[in-house]
Amino acid sequence: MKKVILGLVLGLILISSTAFAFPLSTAKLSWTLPTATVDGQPLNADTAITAIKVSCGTTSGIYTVTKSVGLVVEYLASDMPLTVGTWYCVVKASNKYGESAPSNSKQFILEGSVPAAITDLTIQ
Amino acid sequence: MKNLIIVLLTALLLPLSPTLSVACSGIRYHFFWTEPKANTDGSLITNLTGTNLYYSLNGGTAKSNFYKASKPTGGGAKSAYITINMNCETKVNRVEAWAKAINTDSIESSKGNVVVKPVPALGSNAAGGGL
Repeated sequence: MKKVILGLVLGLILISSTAFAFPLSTAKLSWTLPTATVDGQPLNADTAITAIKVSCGTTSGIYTVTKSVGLVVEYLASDMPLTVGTWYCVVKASNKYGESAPSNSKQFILEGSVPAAITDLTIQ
Repeated sequence: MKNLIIVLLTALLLPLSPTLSVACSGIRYHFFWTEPKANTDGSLITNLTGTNLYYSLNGGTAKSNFYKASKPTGGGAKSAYITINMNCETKVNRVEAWAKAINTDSIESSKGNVVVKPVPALGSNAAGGGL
């Protein structure tokens, strides 16, 4: 009986349906935890999720930054850490029987914050 | 004939002429500014790397000097001296300068206020300048 968890659904919060560029300082990856195993059985104490792993990369399908983030449903992009640029990310859930297939891949752009202008320059 | 040959051969042993140039000495300016503490989106800066101080003479191509940030969160009071060489051929020179904060993502702030300092003509009371 396959007790590995179903894959997750990865989404990005705080975003409109058309925009996919986000400020690096506030962008958050979020996901919906699965509630069943691959064979369709609801998760229980034996098959409960034990870990969530987020993987990201600047090329689709090639993930160079991976982090175990605990049993949470969201994580700051800057804490991965991700930097300014275009990223592709997937999420996997694990239980004691193994790791799920990766979630859907999400592509997004992280934009850096712009420092405020210096407006009090003086010269002597 | 023999003397002529000696003179000609001796001339070949003379050194080439040096190259002479004349330049105006520079004037040292003291700049003061405050680093920003926030980004344009209102968030606090956490990755300030420094300030690029730009200056130009008589509206020409601007040069820049980089000054390291007091701390990554900015807010520091900064000052710097820059010696700018004047144009000897211009009666009145004009120095313009502006500053841009820059963060670790290499993103610069927009141009801030521009300070302008006219430099008196050579031979007048120009502090530290002139030939």
